[in-house]
Amino acid sequence: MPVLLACLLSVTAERWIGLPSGQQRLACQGMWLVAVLGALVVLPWSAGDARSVLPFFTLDPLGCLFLGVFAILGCCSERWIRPGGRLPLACAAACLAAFASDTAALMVTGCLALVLAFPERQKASAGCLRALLFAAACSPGAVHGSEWMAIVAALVCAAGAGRRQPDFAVAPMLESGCGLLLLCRILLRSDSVITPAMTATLIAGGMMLAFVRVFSTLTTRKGSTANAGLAGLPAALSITSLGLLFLAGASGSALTAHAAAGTLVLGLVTLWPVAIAFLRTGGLIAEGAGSDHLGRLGGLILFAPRLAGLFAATLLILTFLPPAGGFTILWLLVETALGLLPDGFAAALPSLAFLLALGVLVALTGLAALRLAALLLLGSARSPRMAACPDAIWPALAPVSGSLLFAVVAGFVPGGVLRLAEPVLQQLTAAPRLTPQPFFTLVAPDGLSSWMPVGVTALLLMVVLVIRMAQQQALRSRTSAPVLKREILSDIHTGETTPWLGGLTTRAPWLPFGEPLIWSGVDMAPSSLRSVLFLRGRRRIMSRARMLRCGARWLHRLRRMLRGTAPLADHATAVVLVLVALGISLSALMS
Amino acid sequence: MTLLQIVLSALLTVLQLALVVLVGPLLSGFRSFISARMAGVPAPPVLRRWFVIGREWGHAPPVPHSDAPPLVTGMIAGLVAPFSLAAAVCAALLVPAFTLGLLTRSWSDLLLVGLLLVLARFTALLPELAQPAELATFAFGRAVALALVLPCLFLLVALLFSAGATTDLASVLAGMSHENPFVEGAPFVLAGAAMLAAVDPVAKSASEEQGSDGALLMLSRDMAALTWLTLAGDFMWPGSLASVLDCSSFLSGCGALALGVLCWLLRSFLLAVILATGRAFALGDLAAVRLRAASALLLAVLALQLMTAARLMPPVGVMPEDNRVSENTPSAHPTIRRTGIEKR
Repeated sequence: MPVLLACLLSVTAERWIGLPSGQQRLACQGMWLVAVLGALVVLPWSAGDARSVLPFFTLDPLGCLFLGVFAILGCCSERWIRPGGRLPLACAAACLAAFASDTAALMVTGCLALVLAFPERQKASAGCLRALLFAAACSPGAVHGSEWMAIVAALVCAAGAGRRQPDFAVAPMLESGCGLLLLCRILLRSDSVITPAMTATLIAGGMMLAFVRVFSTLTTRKGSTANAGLAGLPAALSITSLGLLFLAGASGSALTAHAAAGTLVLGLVTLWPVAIAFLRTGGLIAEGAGSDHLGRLGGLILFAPRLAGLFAATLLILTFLPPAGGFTILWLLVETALGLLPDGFAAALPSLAFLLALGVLVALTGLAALRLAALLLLGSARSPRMAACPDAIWPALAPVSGSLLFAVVAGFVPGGVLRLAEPVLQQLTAAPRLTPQPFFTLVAPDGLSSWMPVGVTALLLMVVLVIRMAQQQALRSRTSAPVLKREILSDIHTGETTPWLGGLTTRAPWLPFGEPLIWSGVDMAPSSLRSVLFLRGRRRIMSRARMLRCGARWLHRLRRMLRGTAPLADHATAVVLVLVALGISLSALMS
Repeated sequence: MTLLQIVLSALLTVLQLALVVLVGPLLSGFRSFISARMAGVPAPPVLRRWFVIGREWGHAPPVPHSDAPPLVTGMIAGLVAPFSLAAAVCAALLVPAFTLGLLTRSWSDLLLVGLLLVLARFTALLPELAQPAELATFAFGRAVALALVLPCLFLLVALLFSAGATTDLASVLAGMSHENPFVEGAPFVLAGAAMLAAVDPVAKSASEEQGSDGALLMLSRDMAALTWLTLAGDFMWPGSLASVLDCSSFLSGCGALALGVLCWLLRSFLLAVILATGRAFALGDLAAVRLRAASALLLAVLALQLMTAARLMPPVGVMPEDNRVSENTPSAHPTIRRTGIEKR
């Protein structure tokens, strides 16, 4: 009911209701908040007999969990300055899809959500493909057909590109959420058979997707793509953890399967809201700066401290570094992989490769976060428009800060979250209730390793406080004696002003127009990585090879040919539609 | 645990913190000294690092005389310097340096320690990233150098888990304290050598930040380097860690503690000398970064292979008579200590 009310309030014009400006947005966000709280309150008691909410829609633990995520998305998709829009409606449809017990209902509501979140006309073909794959996964097909289709649909949905329009900044998370919901619903059906190939595809596909996302963040020039790349990591890791869950289930390790299910649940509760807040903040920054080009931003901390603070906080959590919630997910993933580590070097190679890939992912994520921080927050404004970037008002930031606060608080009590979501864990693992985790601590499947986020955070903050106080004390005690900087020629210095100059600063004689301010560009990270990872001499040798020259010639011809077929891109949507419809019809006939 | 043991653990933790704060800059100065000697250039005094940190500690950060907006750099340094030092302090508190039984032993997860050190290093680089292009690119290059070593940390976590069925550092080190570093502990010697690659190399030119925040950043860097060295030393020689809480009398406890501190200082300075001798090789920056990353990865993989090979070999009792050397030969294959999962 709150979702429907929020949806109605969102689509109704302000003049029809008569509330003062801004109050309708607050009412919408309040309704979404009620939906989130309702989902959390109902979650522990949702495992009883199936209760029908509407025809074809049933209340169950997994639906409650996804309802919370989609309601947070809906709350963050409500914009302060411009009411309405398609995205709140899409979130409402996704909320309905979370409770769909019938595949037809799931198909209708999920596709509706994806269609409402379509990108602009030039890129509509990708949206069409996502919606059609979603529909194909819901339709009956050949043996293992729907499972494979669900895996492909989830991976494609999680690979959604970032949006330039601020209205649709959080749309990639909605698409990822729909894909993950579909994956859970299809693969957790009682008649689904999970093959080892599917498990391997889930794990490898999730990791590959995460790598693609991080590489795009490291190399792109567009802010929206970079933000979507980092925010897409939770979705990719959720798919991976689902694969680990099935792997642990197949190997018969109940504790490890429980840990993998806990990873999925904790990711949805503690990391997805942060990713949503990150995308929303990135959209507000792009709107304020008037550009999506990373090379034209910079110095945000000077012009918009609130936006910069929120952006930095969400960025820190998404980098998987302790003590934030991202590290909790990483720690659980590592412990799950270690729980599945077989004896013997050759047998353990896939697990070791997975751990190594996790390490590479964390390293690249850290570098991507540093790059974003250097280009957006630090330095000075790279364009005059950026220097006029306004800071967002607190009411506009309320949903973002609220979801961030929720995620941080939930991240401090991971054991409590897992206790609250015990019905979801039972539904995912199809196993009886295990010993509950301690409230503030996560215990690994081995029973010995543990991680206590609130303890480490408290220790860190206490040390920061002590250092800060000692620093202030030291500075206060020494300010009595003025410190003079020794100069060889104690005269007027560069950068100072004198009364007879009328406020103008003194320039150095060799730099009459001031020092050139050359800030690091968007190519700093890729060029640094390229210079370290690739040898220079090797490239010269390779360019001399005849075969490579032939390859380059063929590549050039292929590019020219593709450029010639560019007008056909407008009809790509129709082609994709026809092909996928044909596939669905064939699979239905074969079934 | 009794109240006395808790108080003793707290005292040991405070003592370790004080020693790490004292020895960190000293070790950094020693590394600079040895590196300069190896490279054949005039060497700075060993205590210079301490002198610089002490001099800058009470000074407010200076305002640079340039057209670059000083606000961002100063603000960022003021924000991140205490945070970076706190992350390094937390990591140093979680690693047993010279004794077991610290108050923080239940949190001493290897992954947590490694990533706290990475957090300390990355946050310390932020003020340099706020500078114009040249300095920012150098700072990002240093981040890349650390990031290339990071994947091998995850392999070392797997190695630790293979040895003790847990990633809890203190528990595994306590179990390994009686192992011979050249027989059962050989994989961990390799792991320690791999961990040396994560130590921040000594800067060729004097890089001294100014002001109180600069002193914090320098201290953070030195403490992070010392913690990496301590971690590597723990892996290589876990027997040097004292068990003060298990000692029967006060005097034996004091003796064990003194011996542990001595062994810690000895192995840290020895590893620092080994690291500093790397300056004797004429390598470019990029080549050195590549070499560090590749050698760390290879050593970690080799350590894992050695560990699994040792575990997979049949025990002495079931070996054929021809292969058995003698009954008195010590077992080259450690007993399998995977208790948790295998019991299940």
